[in-house]
Amino acid sequence: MSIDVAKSLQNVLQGDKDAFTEVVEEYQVPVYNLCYRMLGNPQAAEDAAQETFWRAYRNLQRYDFKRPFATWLLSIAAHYCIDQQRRRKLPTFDLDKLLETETGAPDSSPSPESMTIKKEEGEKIQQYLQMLNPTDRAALILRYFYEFSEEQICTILGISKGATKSRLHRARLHIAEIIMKQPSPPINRRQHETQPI
Amino acid sequence: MRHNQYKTWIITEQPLPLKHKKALKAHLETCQHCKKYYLTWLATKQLLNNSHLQIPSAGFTNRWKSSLPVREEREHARQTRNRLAFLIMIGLLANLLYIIRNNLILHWIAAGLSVITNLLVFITKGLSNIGDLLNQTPTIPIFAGVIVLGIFFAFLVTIIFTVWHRLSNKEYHAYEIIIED
Repeated sequence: MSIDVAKSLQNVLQGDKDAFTEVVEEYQVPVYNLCYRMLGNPQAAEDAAQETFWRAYRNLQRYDFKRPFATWLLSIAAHYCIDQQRRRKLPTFDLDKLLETETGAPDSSPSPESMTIKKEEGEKIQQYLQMLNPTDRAALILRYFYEFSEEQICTILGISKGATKSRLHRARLHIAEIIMKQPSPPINRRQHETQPI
Repeated sequence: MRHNQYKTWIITEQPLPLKHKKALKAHLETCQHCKKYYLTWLATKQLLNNSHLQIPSAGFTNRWKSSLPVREEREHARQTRNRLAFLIMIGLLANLLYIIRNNLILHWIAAGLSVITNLLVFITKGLSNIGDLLNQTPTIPIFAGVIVLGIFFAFLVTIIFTVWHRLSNKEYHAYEIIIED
């Protein structure tokens, strides 16, 4: 971490508005990334990330300095995105349409390990994520994109540990089922032979 | 078929007991569906873990900084509105308490009923006067009444037709202008 976040936050609480700009600079990528993964749209992600920082700034008095700031901030972002999805019912991807587009575009790249394929698969993952329930999606993103523990996820999402476990399990099952239905699931051929159980 | 049980074992993050591990391994050697599921899940997990971070477009912090005064102003307006609404609510509640405490509500109900009764009396009197007036008018022969009414309706129809015709012409001209453009 390049700045002393606690010091910057204290400065903000003492009236130094510019100190929060440093915090925004520091956390813009994880917050934006979470919003993008949740909403699947750059403009919506930008708006959500800006709103997250505004809410954090407005409610800074309520922040418990004993807790990690990143967890608190991501918690605001996750809740905001879940709320947005529920309110606006943002368009989710239709599996049938996805299947149609995939079968319509033949895979011409020779190497499965090329960067293009990786990027494409990353985009597909993003589309598959959109098919999940917002809270399940948030749990999965926090677990695999941010590598948070189940305890951290339940703190961020404000749900019990049991609920976190069951949501993660459901999300994993769901996403695996979605990907299994694809004409060309992203199976790594090398794993085929060597991956131990 | 116990595919669901094996699928649960495949996707779980908890370490499997040795017995379950052996059973899963044996199943994967014979079941192509679960094997595909297992490989798909491994690849998906890898994709999720290795997905690159999405970065906001340049100038995110500047956009935050420039939006701050607007947001603060909006927040200030919202707070003012809330305070005002709160004060109005308090005022209304105080009034309500005052009314209830002084039995004013019964006086108000009585006054309201009185106004409604007066209004009904006024309407009845008005209708009665109209009836009296009609009784005093001389009797008109029926043919004269038909003629007068006929002239009146003919006049009304002419006015309606003229207005309709003028409006239709306007629309037609407007259409012509659009075509010419």
